Amino acid sequence: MHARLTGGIALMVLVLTAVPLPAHHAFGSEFNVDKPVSLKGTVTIMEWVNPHSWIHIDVKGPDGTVVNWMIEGGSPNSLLRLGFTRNALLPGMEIVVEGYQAKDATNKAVGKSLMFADGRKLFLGMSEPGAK
Amino acid sequence: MKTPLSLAILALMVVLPPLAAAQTWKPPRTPDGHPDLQGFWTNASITPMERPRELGAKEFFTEEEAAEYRKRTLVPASVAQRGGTEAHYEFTQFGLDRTQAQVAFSLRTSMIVGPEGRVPPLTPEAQKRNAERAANLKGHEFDGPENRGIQERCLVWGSEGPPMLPPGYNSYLQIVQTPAYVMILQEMIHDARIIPMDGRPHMPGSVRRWLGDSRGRWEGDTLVVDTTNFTDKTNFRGSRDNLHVVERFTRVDENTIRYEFSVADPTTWTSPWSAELPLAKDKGPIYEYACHEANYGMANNLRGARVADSTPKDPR
Repeated sequence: MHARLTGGIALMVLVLTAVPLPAHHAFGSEFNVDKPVSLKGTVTIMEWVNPHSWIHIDVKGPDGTVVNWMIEGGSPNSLLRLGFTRNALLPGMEIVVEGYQAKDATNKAVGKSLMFADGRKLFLGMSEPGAK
Repeated sequence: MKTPLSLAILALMVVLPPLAAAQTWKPPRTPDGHPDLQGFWTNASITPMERPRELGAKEFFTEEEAAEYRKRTLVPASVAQRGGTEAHYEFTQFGLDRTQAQVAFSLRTSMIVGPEGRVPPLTPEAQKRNAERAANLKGHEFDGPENRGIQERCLVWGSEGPPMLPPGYNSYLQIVQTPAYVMILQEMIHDARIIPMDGRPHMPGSVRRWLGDSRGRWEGDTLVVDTTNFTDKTNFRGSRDNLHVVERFTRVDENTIRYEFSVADPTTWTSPWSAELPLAKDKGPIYEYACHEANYGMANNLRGARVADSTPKDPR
C-alpha cells in the first residue's frame, strides 16, 4: 500500500513539475531557441519594471564597436522580496549573460542565466544585495 | 561561499492546525462584529486543481504522505520544464521558484473537493464552442495584439478569477473590510475587486465586467461572495460570460483563511463543482504590478512573427 502510494506521489510530482509555469507571455515565440548568445557587457541601465525586468548592457565586439543589448528577466516584485533593491545592479557593473536572441533579430535576448564577471550568479546566492 | 538566500528562506511552511485547535480558536473581529479577514495573504500552492487519477478517491494525504510530497515537489525544476521552452530565464535567479516562496500547504490531494476531484466533463455545446474558437484562431495567433491572450495583453491575469487561484508567482492578495464594502486586491495583476455588502442586487445582465460583478454577505462567521456578469473574453476552464461563482472565506486560525468556491455554468459543465485552498497570512506588503508600463514582450512577439512571415519557408 505504502509503495503504491509513494508511486502515486512520485507520478503526481512528475505531472506537476512537467506543467509549465503560467508565463506572462509566449517566450518560445519571442526568442529563438536556435540562436543562443553569450554576452559580456557593462550595465548601462536596469529597468525595474513589470511584467519583466530589462537589463541594458554595452557589449564591445572584437573590432571595438560597442553595441547596446536589452536582456529580459523576471518580475522585479520577486527580486524585491528577496531583498534586492535598485542598487543591486548599477551602471558600470560588468555582467555575463547566457541566453537566446529575439526572433525579430534585434539586439534583445532573454537572460537565461546572469552572472557577474567572476562567475557569481547575479541575483542568487548573495546574502546582501550587491555584496561581494 | 555564503549560504544562498534562497535556502535561508526555503519554503516557510504554513499548515492547517488540528481540528481541536480550530474549534477553540476565536477570530479577531472588526468593530461591527464580523471576523477580521484584513491583511496580506498568499495562495501559493503545490496542490493541483485536479487530482491525479492514480490517487483515485483519496481526498487527503496523511501528514507523513504530505511531508514526502512536499519534499519531492519543492525542488528546483529546469527552465524547459517550468517555462515550457528552453528560451526562458532561470526562475531560481529571479525568486520565481516555488522553493523560494511562502507556500500555503494543505493535506488535500487536489483543490477540487469530493471523490472525483476533477472538473466535470464539458457539455457538447461547450466542446463545440471551444473547437470553433480554436479553429478560428489557428494560424492567426500572432496577427495582432487582439489575437493574443488577455494575460499577455496585461488586461487580466489568467488566475484572477474569481475564483482566485495561485498565479504561479507573486501570489499575494490584500483584504480590506469596511461595514459597507470588502475590497480584495491581487498583486497579479493589480486589480481591486470592490464588493458591496449592503444586499443590493447584481447589475443588470447588460453590464459585463472583467472580474464579474460581486456581492457579499455574512453567513455566520463566513464571508460569502456571489459573482456573475462576466464577459465572454475571460475563460475559466471553458466557462465565460455564463459563469456563476460563490466564494466562501472563513478565518480558521491566526494564520489561515479557508477559501472555498463553487462554480456553475450549465452551458459549459455537466454539473457544478467545488474546490478549496488555504490562504496563508503574509507579512506584506504587496507591490504594484504595472503590467502595461513595460510590456515589451507583446511588441517583440509580434515583430518576431512579422520577421517569420517575410522569411521564405523551408520547402522540406
